[in-house]
Amino acid sequence: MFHGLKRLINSSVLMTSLVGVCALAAPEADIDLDSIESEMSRRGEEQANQTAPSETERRSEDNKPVTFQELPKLSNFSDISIIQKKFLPKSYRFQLYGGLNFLTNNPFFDTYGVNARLNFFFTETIGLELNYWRHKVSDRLVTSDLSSKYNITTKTMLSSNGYMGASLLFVPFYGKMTFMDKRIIPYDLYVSVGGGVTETSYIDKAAPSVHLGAGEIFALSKSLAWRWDFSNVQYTAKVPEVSTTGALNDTGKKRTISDLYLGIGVLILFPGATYR
Amino acid sequence: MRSFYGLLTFMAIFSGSISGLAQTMAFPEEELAKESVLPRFDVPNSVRNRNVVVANKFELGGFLGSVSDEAIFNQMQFGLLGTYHFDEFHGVNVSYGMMGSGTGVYAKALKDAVQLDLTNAFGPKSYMLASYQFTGFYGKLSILKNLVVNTHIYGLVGLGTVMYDGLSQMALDFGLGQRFYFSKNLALRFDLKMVRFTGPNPIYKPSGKSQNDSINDLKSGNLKISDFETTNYLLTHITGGLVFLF
Repeated sequence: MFHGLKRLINSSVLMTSLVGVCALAAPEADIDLDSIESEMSRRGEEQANQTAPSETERRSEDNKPVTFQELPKLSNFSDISIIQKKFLPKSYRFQLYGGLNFLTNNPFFDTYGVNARLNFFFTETIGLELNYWRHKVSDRLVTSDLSSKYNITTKTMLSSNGYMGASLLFVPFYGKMTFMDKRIIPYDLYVSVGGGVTETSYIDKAAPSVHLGAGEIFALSKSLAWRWDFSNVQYTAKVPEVSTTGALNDTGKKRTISDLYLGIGVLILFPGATYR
Repeated sequence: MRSFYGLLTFMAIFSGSISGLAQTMAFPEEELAKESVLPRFDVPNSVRNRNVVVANKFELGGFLGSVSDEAIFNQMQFGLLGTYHFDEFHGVNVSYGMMGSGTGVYAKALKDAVQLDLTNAFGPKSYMLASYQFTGFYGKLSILKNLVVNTHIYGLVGLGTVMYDGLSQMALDFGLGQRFYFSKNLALRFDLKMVRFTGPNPIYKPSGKSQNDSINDLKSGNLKISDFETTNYLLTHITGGLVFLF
């Protein structure tokens, strides 16, 4: 008797719990899912046969709330614009760069060295950069030959021992690159314009210079990237005259020289980005 | 059976408790997630579709450029190039370049300053290089958010010959390049290559011969290429051109 009563109570509890769970899970359980599906299919076919609503109609309908029954009437997206988040945010961040410089267009001297840069970006596209380069200069074979065979010095051909200046960076191009389809690398393509002083191998220790550059920055993380660029530094500097005794004299004669550098290095961005 | 009914009882009570707790909960701002997290897949597939497909395609084009650190001869060069892409990453590139004729500005300066006339010295006339091309990087570039340009970055390493009048010398080349596509078939191509070879030294002065005699020999134009000693070159080729894929 007591056992039967207990089973009856448990059955009642079971029924109550099932109703409760159903009420939580499906508040609109009275809607037949199959009928909704068939209705949506039918209306979807009708929609496909109709022309898309005009722009004016779409705009006026934009403000109206959409009901469940109106879902099949929605038109296809026609003007989706997706702008992905930037992986390498630059605004209000410093970039400290260290790399190597190679002079690519001096026929008489091998010129290479280190290249340090510090820049700060005011926006994602505009930044200011400070440059400090030091170069090691050595004679090429043709220079040695001219000297050893004909006593011709090429010291009147100037070479840069270093450069110091500031540039304005403009980053109008932003892209993404994949390495062998395995990794996505966000990158920026920038141009720079600036000026400074070039320390030449003779007489002029600070020849006024104009600096133009273009390069790419490849993000390794939000704080680390590698960068390569071409920099053209054009300067006008005094060139020495060689006397009959072989001495170099300053006669005030000047030459304009255009150096084209290839730079490759790594940059660190700081402080840490709190946005993307 | 008893434990089953017990479980159902617990669920009934617990579901009632959940419905009672279904309220709006406010979290402090600093506890909300600020970083998005992406799932990591065992087999990542970063690129599903490429706008520019180069696999099994030929690439033909022309280029113009300079041997930017050539001291004596004309720095200008121009030529043709062709590439066959075995797949999206690997290909073979063949380039044929012709050098500008005559001497360059520095040789003219030497002639004016010290009467060392190198016009009759032997300089390279052309070259042909066959290089393995590894196109590791493919990307898209947004230009002011109005235009998308596809791009490839590749590395090159290969062998070839540098041709003189009556002499061919083996050459080794390596370098980097980048293509920017106007369309799926047309692109701008920029290459920076170092070319290493051995060739006749234009600064002619055999041992035992005086400077004046050597200068006169050079002026006469009677020297053969074998009269010049050899020297090593490592020259920088910077070229830009237009290529077509098909």
